[in-house]
Amino acid sequence: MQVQVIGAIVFWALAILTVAGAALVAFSRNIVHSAFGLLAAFFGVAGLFVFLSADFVGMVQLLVYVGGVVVLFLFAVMLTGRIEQVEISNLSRGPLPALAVLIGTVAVLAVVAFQTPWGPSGDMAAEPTTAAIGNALLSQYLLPFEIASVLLVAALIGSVLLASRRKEDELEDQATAEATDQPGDPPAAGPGGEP
Amino acid sequence: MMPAMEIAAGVGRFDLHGLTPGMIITGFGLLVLLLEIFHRGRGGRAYLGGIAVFGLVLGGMWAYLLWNQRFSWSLFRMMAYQDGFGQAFTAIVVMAAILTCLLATDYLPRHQSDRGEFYALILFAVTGMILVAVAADLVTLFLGIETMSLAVYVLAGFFRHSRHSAEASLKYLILGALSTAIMLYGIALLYGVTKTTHLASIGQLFQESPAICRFNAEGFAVGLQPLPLIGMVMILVSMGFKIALVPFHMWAPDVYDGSPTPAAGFMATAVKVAGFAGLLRLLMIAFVGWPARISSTGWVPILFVLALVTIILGNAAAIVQNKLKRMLAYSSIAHAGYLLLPLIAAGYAGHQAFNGAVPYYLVAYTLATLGAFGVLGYLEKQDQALTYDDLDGLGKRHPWVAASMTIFMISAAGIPPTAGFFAKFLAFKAVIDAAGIGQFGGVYLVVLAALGILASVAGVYYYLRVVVHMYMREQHQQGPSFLLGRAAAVAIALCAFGSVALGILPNRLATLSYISTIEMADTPEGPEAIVPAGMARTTGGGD
Repeated sequence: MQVQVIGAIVFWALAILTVAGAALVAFSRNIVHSAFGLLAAFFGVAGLFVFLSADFVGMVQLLVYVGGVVVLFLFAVMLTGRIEQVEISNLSRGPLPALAVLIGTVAVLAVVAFQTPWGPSGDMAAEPTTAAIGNALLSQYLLPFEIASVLLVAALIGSVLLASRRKEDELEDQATAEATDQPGDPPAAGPGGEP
Repeated sequence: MMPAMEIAAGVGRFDLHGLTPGMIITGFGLLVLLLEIFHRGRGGRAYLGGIAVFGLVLGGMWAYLLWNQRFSWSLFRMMAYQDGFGQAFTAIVVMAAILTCLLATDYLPRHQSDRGEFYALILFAVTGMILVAVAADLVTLFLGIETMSLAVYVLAGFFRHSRHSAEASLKYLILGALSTAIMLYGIALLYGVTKTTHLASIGQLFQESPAICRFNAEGFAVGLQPLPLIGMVMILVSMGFKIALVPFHMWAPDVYDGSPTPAAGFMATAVKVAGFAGLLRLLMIAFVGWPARISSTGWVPILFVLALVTIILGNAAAIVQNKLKRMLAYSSIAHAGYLLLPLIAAGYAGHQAFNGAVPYYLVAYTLATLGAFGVLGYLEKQDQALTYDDLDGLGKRHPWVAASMTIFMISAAGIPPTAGFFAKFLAFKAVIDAAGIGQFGGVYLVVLAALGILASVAGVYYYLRVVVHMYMREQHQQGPSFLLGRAAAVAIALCAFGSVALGILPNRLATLSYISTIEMADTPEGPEAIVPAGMARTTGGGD
């Protein structure tokens, strides 16, 4: 009984941290605040993973998202000049259709959640999962593991291609510099945003 | 191949053997990247396209050899299949990629974007598509789709000097990432119910598990429980985005419009081929079940509605377009609707309704669409969208190009002596046959077929409008003064020849399509359950 109460408290604390962080990301007008909200949300998700005895995934979440992605975001925000003066950064457009979509989605998911007979999760001993994940990656999931490397090569080549500029391009740009509205490089659609 | 490999992590030589086409193509992709680094001087990079085409031909030939063995086995602990279906779709994707590379060698230098990475990205995308076609597990399927999509997002933005192209790429990336998220959500929900990501295991549960199906008093499954239903719908939504079905099609015209024309052709054809391969695997192996009637909550009613709105809205929107690339985009949306018809038939009446319409249709569609995009790429001026008026008098200026374009339009419209006619015929025939086989609600299928035929008659208007402009209007604009590059000319000629030849002699391809469809491993009524990795067995056909 005692354990269940503590478990519930931990879960709700982590869930509130995650959702509040996500809300800050979405509603804050200041992009730096949004980045810090993302930090909180990622922390909460990492806590939820650990809470589900997925220690490895929790640590990866911390290392990659909190330690890497958010810091990268912050660097990008801080190093980009005048980003805080951009007025339109976070204004919502078309709130009514968005609200309709939101209500529809929530309604469907709620109906599904309440109609599904959720079974008990069973007593899972909190044991280290790293070795099991390593074994699975190199035996059962060997093919997906290898495909992931092809995927990453394609993503790397693509982002470098979109973001980098070569000498030939710059020469061409100088030659055709009459069009002032040509963006130097459009928002490089790097695949970093991929989940 | 390499017997020593059998020790390492349980990889058998049969595992690698079945994936050889994909490995060859990935290898050539890396080779093209390497050669690009060592490229010096101001010379053209068409030879890189040649190397890519060579690799694709090699991979395609290997796929044909594998297919010809008539063996099915599962690869890498049931992560992928080596079966006739996968190899047939591999071959179609490879064909589209070869034509795209040939067109690109001519197109890219004229638009100051002559870079080897284009061919490398095409090859990586093809690797992803092959994995989608052979996937036996949701994990493989998902990674294949992502590999393909990432490469294609970059191809859309390949013109770095063009704002239009960047917009296309960004739009595709953001919407694509959203559809990826929806698919992952669906996979997670399905995994939550089934505790497996293996397609055939999911299929078994879909037939018998009370956690997934709702049963009536007599013990017949009458529908799905809400959780698996919503998971399945989310996966279908994401696949619908990839193949541009109507409520999820908004990106297609904008992206095709802004992308380099050969890349747009590649997106309209190869991506769609891979999407249909994945969809067929999902629907035939994973989401199987009771004879899915129109009134039940299986996927048949969902696809029924999607097909209807896709065919009608796709054709209607194509009629009002004035820009040619947008017209082709909406026409490709309409074609995706026709391609759903055989799937609906198969879901409704079971495997008796298979007549090989999907691969045949995809071949005919690929030839006509890529050919048309090739012609547009030739006529295109810098950063200026082509309209119908730009085609005026083309019949006099460039008789061969105009003749090829006429063939493509006739084939896309589905008018007799072309492949497109036979493809549409097979698709509609599948639906009508299924209406006769199934027990309930066959009249809905007849209505669907009738509306589809009416819409395709309406579609003739915008296809023939192209022909009218080419031959019956006076020229008042100067067309391109340069000649069509040799490689692009070969590609367009191949498309035109294929469209006509397959229309006159459809038998061979129709038979191959039929065999490859029924040779899908692991379907409940097809070849039986899988054997452990590394042990080959004959399938002997499922009829």
